[in-house]
Amino acid sequence: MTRWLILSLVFSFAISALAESNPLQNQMESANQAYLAGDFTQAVEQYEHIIAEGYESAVLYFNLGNAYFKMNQMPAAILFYEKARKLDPTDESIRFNLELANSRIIDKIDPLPEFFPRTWFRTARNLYSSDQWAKAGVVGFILLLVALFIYFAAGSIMIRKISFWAGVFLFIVISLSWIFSISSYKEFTQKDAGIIFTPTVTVKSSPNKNSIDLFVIHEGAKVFITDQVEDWSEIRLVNGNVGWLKTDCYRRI
Amino acid sequence: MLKNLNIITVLVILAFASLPLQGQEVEFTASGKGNVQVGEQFRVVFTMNRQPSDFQGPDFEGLKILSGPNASTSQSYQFINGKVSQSVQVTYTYYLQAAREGSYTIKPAKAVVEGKTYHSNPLDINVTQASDAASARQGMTQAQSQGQTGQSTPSKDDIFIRASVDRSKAYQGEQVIITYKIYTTMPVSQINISKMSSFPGLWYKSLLNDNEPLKQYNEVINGREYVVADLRKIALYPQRSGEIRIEPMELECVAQMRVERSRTRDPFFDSFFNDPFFGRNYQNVRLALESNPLTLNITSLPASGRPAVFGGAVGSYTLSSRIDRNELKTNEPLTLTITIAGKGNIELIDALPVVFPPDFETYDPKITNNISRSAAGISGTRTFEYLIIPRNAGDFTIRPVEFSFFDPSKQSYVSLVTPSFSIQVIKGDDEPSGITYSGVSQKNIRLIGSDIRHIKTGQIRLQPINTFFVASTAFLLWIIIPFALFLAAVILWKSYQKQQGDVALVRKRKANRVARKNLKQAGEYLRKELHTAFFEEISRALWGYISNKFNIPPADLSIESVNQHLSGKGVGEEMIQDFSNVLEKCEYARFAPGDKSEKMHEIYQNALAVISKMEQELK
Repeated sequence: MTRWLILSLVFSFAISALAESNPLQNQMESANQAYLAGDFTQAVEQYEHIIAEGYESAVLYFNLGNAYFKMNQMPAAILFYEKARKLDPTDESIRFNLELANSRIIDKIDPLPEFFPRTWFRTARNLYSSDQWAKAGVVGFILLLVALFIYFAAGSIMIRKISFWAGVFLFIVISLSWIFSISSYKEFTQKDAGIIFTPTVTVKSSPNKNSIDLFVIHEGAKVFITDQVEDWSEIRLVNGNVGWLKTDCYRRI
Repeated sequence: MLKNLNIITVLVILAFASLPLQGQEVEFTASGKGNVQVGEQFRVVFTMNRQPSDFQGPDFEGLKILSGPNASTSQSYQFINGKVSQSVQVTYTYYLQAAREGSYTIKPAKAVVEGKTYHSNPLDINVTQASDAASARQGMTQAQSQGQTGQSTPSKDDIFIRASVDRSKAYQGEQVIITYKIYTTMPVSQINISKMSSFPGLWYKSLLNDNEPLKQYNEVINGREYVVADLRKIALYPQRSGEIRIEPMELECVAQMRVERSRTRDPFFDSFFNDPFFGRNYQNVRLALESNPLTLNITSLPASGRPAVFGGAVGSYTLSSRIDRNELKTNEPLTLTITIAGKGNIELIDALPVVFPPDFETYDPKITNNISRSAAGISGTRTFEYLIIPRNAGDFTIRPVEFSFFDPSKQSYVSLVTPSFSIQVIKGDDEPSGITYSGVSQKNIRLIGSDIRHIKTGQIRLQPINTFFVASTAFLLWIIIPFALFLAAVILWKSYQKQQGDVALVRKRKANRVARKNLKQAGEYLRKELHTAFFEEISRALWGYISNKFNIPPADLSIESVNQHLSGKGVGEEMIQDFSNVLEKCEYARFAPGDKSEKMHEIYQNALAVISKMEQELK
């Protein structure tokens, strides 16, 4: 009974992944063709259409970012590269293009040094995507159950010992991979970062037009949104500067 | 002797240079015409007989300074009867013009000579309304006869200048020709443009040669015949869009106009001289004329369809290019010539960005213009010569260069492309001097440009936005179902163990107790000397123990199989031997004839010992 349930589950996944994406797959192809032909406006339109249909993928965001880059719309290019990187932190091309796009904007913001365990955590987490970590966790979990069963059922002390330590090891692996997976997922869904789209923005000291001007940032800069009051947002730059700007100045990643 | 002469010469010169002037009084005078007319140019001269260290002209209130102060100095030496005298004359000249009538006083000018300040005399100037000449701009040319009968100024219709453009609406960069024409009904001379229009936001080029005499022709306007001459013809190229206002041009000229002689009051003479044959005379009249202002409406070039390489060229052009040779040796120069010919703002075209193979040494192009100006505008050719020197051998290609321009007549952009040139460079005979090779010459790979990585193509998996496996029900199921399976497996295993394992375990645990019980019974029989019962009991104790302990069905048991079973269960060889011995003895004694009492004791002890021993070893 349970075996049938799993099988049908797996099948429904595979089928849904294949069946649903086929018409959009064609659109993706034609968008790529438009890009190759140098018609970036057309390419952007088609990529955006796929997103409007409610689908995404790291490659889609990457290609869309490229099209915007070629149209010299750096803020949009950076936005989509960032989205692509969130979905697939491992991809080297995405990181390369994002860096290149960031070098073409006005502001060069030096990030504050991060507390090193945080960097390690992030680096380790970004080795694989959220889904990959989650799947690794599932595989580990099943292995852990097998190890536990062996531990209970085995007569021999030797086998019991091996399965015990295997279980401990698997438990650590599972915990880490699920923590990584959830952390990526949280970061993606929280959308607490944004890219400035207004050419020049004066950042204020409080959510009020008449407050003191703190600093000026330009389009393409990345900000972290920490608070929101009416149509004002409190933002933090990677260099640690904090201030308020109008919410319509940026688009969330 | 010669030396002496030299010394004398020097002395003489020194003496001249330091000639005393103290004796002379400083004279500082201002002079000028006392009566001038409105609009007339006149001079005011300040004269001094000493060189001042500082001169400060007066403030000519109400008068317009056309130029000045123009300083000039003249020196003269006089030898009179062996006496030498020196005289200096310094003059400062101002050219002035009065705009309005009235009397003016030119205040004294100041000059400093040897630390002393001198003042010139003040000068009175009476400016009168033009008496024998018309003053004034076109707007002021209404007849103003202040009792000066017979005096008239030419009216607007008699003489005027007109600025016109061939089109008032144009695209940015499109040629607009502005023409300034003078229309006159009377002879005009000494045309002098006092103020040329400024052309803000326009690049311009004159189409007429300044030295050429004006061409005259006739034109009839409103029934009057005018002599017309093109004063200026200028091609304008708007550099920005929007409304551009061109300010009027101003000029001065002298018109010969007919004046009626009627000064005499004598009625007799009047009537006589008013006769058309006699009563006319020509008089030179100075005129200031102003053209009409113009406004151009400039539309910016359409954004749609604008090629990326568009550089602002507007007009109609052709493009040609050639290369002086296709095969050459390294370090030999090669010339690529690109020629743009046509009509329009050709002089504003930038050099085309030709992309040469990276290994080539390139120089800035030499630009040659061959422009011809005609009444229709500017046309000609602009030639770019690119000198390039290939430094390495190989087959190279100069990629096509695109030149695009906006054609206002078609209202669209036109792109022209040069052909691509392939060049074969073979290794030259001699290496360039001054370069020494130490070892193997190697070059680092040079990055020529940077660009983003190309898009990813091929099959990709699109997923609904914000689907994360870790947040999906599938993920939960992947945890719950295996866990449920695991629990089920554990429970099943437990119940199976209960069924299977418990019986054996119970028997195993009871084996010793059952065996002891049997042995105790055997001891009872031994005392009662019940032989058969004793042996049966001993046999049951031993076999039963084995059967229980190792979970072997009693039916499978025999002396041989016991050996096998026990060795399989990890019982020591000696132990098995002992056990078998006891079993054998028991079986033997049971069926052997003769006295069994002694044997019974021995067997009883052996059985007790072997079971205890076995129990100990298996613990």
